[in-house]
Amino acid sequence: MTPAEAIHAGVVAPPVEPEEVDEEKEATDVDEGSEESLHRKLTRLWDDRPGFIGRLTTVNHKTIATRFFVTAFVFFLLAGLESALMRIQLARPENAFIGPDLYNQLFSTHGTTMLFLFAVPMTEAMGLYFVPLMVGTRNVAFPRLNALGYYTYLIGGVLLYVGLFTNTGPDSGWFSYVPLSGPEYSPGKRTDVWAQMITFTEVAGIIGAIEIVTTAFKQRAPGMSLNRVPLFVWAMVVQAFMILFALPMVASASFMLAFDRLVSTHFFNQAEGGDPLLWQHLFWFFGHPEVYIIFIPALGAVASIVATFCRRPNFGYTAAVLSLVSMGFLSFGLWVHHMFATPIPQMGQSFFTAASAMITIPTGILLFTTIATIGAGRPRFDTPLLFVLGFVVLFTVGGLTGVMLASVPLDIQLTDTYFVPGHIHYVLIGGMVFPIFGAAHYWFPKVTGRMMSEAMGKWEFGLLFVGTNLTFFPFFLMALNGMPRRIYTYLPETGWATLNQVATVGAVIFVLGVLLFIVNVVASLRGGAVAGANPWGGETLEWATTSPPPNYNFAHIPIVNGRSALWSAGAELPVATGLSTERREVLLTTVLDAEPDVRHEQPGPSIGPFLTALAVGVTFVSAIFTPWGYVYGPVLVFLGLMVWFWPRPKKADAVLETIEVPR
Amino acid sequence: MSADRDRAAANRAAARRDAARAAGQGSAYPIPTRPALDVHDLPTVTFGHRDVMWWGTNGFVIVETMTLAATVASYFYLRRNFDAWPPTGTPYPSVGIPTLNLVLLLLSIVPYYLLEKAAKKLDRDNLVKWLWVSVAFALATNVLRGFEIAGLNTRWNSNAYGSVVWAVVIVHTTLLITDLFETLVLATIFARKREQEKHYPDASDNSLYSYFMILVWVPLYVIVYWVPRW
Repeated sequence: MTPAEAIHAGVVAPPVEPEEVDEEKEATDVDEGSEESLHRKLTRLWDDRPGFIGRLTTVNHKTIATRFFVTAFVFFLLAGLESALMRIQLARPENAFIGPDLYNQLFSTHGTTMLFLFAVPMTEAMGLYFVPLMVGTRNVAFPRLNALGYYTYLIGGVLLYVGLFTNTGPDSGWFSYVPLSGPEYSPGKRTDVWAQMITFTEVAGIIGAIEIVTTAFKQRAPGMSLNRVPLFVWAMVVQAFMILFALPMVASASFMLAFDRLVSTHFFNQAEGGDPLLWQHLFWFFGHPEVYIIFIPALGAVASIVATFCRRPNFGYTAAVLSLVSMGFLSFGLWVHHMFATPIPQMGQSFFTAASAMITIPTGILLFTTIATIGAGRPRFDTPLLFVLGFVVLFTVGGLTGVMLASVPLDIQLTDTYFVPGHIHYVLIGGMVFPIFGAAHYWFPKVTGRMMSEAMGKWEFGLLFVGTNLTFFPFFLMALNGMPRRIYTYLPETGWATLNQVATVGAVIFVLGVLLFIVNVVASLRGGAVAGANPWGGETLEWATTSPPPNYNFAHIPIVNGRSALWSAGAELPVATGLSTERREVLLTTVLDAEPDVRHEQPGPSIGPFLTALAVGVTFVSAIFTPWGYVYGPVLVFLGLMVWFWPRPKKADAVLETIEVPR
Repeated sequence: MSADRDRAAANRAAARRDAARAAGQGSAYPIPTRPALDVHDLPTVTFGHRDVMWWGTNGFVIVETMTLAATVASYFYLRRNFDAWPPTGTPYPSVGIPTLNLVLLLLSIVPYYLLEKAAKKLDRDNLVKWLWVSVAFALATNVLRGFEIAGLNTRWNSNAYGSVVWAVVIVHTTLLITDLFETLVLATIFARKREQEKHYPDASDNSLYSYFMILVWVPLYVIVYWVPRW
């Protein structure tokens, strides 16, 4: 039995005697006399460069993911502010608070921000922070690429808001239907800002996806075979694959739109043989999976929270994994149900109705496994679990209204009414925002080392839950009373005023909940109880290291001998030794069984990603104004990449001795 | 209640540990561990799917396949709007240079394959040689692609046919240019003896990307140059 097999069989091999170290061999973690000197040595090895330049060159996945968290949350607040302004405007009929032009920009920027700058980056950042910790490795697979992803995302987000504040915010909705967004009906640069922002965030999203897939498949701790991978990691992997297949579609579409506007191509121009419906197909081929791209990581977070707070492993692990994967597949077969109001053949309508109904099966399985885990466990109703319960309730409302919209005759009646915003807000707030707030409370101690206040947390949950229902349930009633979406005001005779006022009051309550969350975060950062490594008694490996984790994550790579890594570890966590303390090494393992395979050296800090992101920024921003941006921009990108990839001189001898030559 | 007490106790223990670490006497792990496996004898560089670069390369291959799929889907979608394809008055795209270029691209698989083999044998001299041969091929195919575009006999702004034909060709041309630059950078690194051990798998994965770039062009070539003639 090899050590790896022994680990698999649950019989862990006896400790290995530290070998005599000959001078030529590099030092490893077993050479250090004490754990404390090992800690010092690894900290130095994985440290950023000093000073401001250190901040721009960092490749630490936790630093980069934390920046994603903060940036995405700021965009969440900005988008929330926009919705608050819209709710004030709609609170009474014929209100003159905001004019139609600004209103158009506000709802377009609100939707765009929430989906592209908040939801996807926030969920992906969760993966970039916790996937490496949960699989027991020291960094994501491509540390420098990860930094590039953040900077491009930041530039794209700033571009959108520079646009909004200079009266160049997008104004044709978050899905920018042509011909409204085409050159004829949207002159000026508003839609161009939107299209380029899409490109930036798609580049960032794709980069994050490649990180997560590679990290989860190649850098798992020894013993973490595929059937022992935590559900959260599975969810992030499914999301990552969906991103790889879906995001190129919208990036292609946004390029076509930008070129229609910039150099007079005719992709969507009916007069020259183009087709406006082509836009809808391309956009929704991305746009429907997008909902699941947002929702599936949230399900992963829910699975983690439920297992921890019900103090038992997730019920129906295999069924849950298969459901996650099948949701990933099925979600690509639904896009036409966004287009029932267009001339689609009846056969197509029936097919996509059936497909839309079919995806409720895996979704239902996941909800039922969640409920079963709660029912079969010993639940402890702390704030994270409350948010999970809120998720179950709100998402059920969102899901059921979705089934209604999947029926063609109803859909044709409800298209472009307030029913659709009601549905999407129940789905996204229930299916994503609530789990994210739960996850924030759950993982805050790990990220910061401090506990959040439980009392405030419960108030947050109450305010957000009441606020959500009070704001968005009236949307359904408004729709039934005939209120179309995307109108900046209405007449008193319509009778929509009361419902709108209720919704506005709900929005105020929601805002109070968010403000209380901010107060809680700030107060807990300063004076929260010290968390310790595993304050909730969690099962997954992120709880095996200190809070916050050291820059190298794990002093020795943990070994996993069960699905619940920490609960099945026994009194002492078995660890693998032998990684270098002189080079930034991570352990690569085999894809299926996670047997130790390679000691892989990672690149260290570099300014290359930052410079490359600036060059990408110059390319796409200047391409708003001139097609030549696509000519000189890539040259700059190439220069940035040279800084990134050009190898530094290295001790030449002994370089090749550990390469394994394949036969 | 007892859970709260447990947590309070855990908090106190953690606080003690943090204080100990601040005083410079803690441990690198917050929980007890025992060494159970030594990985020091594992190789540090491998090829193919055992290496992370292979996964990253394939991730980008998926992304680029989907981007090309979007343009091809658009091609056939827009074609339904036309009675004649190419539209009446637009000549067929010239097929001579594109065919020559296709042959050249397929031939360039040979040096890419030989450089991959040399990389896997850590055979520096042969690797450098075949890298330069590949660069020469890539330069030639890029230049020919320029003539190819000039011979499309339509412009991006003529009509939807022109737009979508240009889209298919231009998207693939970005792959072609990327491949040229990647190979050029690798050739320079190895020729100037600046390589590190990890650059050998990089070179072999570069060939993987090249195979994709070349083979994906075969159906695209048929679509752009022969579908209109049928």
